[in-house]
Amino acid sequence: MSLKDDILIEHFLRNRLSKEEESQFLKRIELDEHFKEQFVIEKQLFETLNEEEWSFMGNVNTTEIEEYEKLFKSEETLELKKKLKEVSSNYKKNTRRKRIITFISSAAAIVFFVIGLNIFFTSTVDSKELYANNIELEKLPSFKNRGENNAEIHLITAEELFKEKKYKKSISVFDEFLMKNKSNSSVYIYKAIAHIELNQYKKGKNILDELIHSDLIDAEKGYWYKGLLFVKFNELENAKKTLNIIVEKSYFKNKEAKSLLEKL
Amino acid sequence: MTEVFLKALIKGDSKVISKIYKTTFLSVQKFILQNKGNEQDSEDIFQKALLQIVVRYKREKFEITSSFEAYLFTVCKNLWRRELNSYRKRVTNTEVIELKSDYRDNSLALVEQKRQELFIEKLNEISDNCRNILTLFFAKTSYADIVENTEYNSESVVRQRVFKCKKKLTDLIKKDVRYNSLKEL
Repeated sequence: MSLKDDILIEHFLRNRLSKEEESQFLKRIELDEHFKEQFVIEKQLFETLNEEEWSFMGNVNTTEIEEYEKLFKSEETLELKKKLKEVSSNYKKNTRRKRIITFISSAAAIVFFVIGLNIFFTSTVDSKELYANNIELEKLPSFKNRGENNAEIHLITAEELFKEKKYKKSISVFDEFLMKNKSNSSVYIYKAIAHIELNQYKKGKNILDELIHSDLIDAEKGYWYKGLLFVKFNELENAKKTLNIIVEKSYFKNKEAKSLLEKL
Repeated sequence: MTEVFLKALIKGDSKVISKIYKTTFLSVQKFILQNKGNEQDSEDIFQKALLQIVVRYKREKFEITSSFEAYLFTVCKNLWRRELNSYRKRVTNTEVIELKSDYRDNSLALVEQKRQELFIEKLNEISDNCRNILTLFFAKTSYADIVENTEYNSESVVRQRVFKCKKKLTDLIKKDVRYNSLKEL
């Protein structure tokens, strides 16, 4: 398989071939078994490893599929299906009842619910989900109790942009602030997360390294967010190394780091 | 614990099934509601996923390496991804859709799930650097953006790197005997 063929397959899968090139491509697939084999695996990878797509099997007959089909059709499975419907309907009734109670005793119940949700979310294995479940954007320190001078008022604006997920705009304000003032670790953290959310790996990593190597009191916080950056971008070995530093040195979020390590 | 869940599930133990609903259903429902689905969809997907796990376990006693809840969530997520893509294909008519029985369709979904697990397992076996660049590549990140966000200096270097990493990944997949029944040539 040459690089040229690889690029050709990629262009086909991303709809970048002209009509004529496309028809030549399809002819080649019919004639060239090796090329076809490579195309099939690349197509499956493209569809499987892109969260927005899914790689379907053709309606093929294999012993494996026939055996599964038999099991799906079996009396036992049909019985289980009925049972699942029963439990689901009971669960719904109970949840409705609970919702009413929850509504009445709102404050305590809301706290419980949030804790409960955190537990559910941290139990997934997908690295992007692990990142999403640990980043806790809502718990980032707010700049709102400051706002004593113009520069800090800008930070409040940047924080609002950040919360509205306007990450690019918030980064420009944080950059402007950092050019004049490098004494606030939260600014580094906000800027880093904004880059991570925009899938800007290198920029996110650079700003966290800058924080880690600074002499700010909260410099150690950089390790936690760097660990999460590695998790999001699937660099699991680096993530483990960074999280181990946090656990060994009892840095910020060391308990969370320990728990995250167990899931990696 | 996973084994206990699976065995009880096969027996149709209502207590265990209720426990599974209590621990995992809410997160699945939240995911589906946030991704163009409704409450009925989340119930259907949750039940389909449980049946898929039971049928698979009956045939091959497979091992779940994460927690049962985490695995169930992943299966639900994938079944929903599949449902959305199947709907998209029906609407845009990009491929000929054959009518299949539910049993057949559930069996195909199970095999597709196995293929996805194999690909992710192999992706985790290559180097961090390769995995990182391929993750960006398969997420349809442009070469220019990959250059901007990694240590590489030019698009042609990135292209070469993607080519080599993809080769490593496909070689690993092809070498694995499990791929023989999943490749569908």
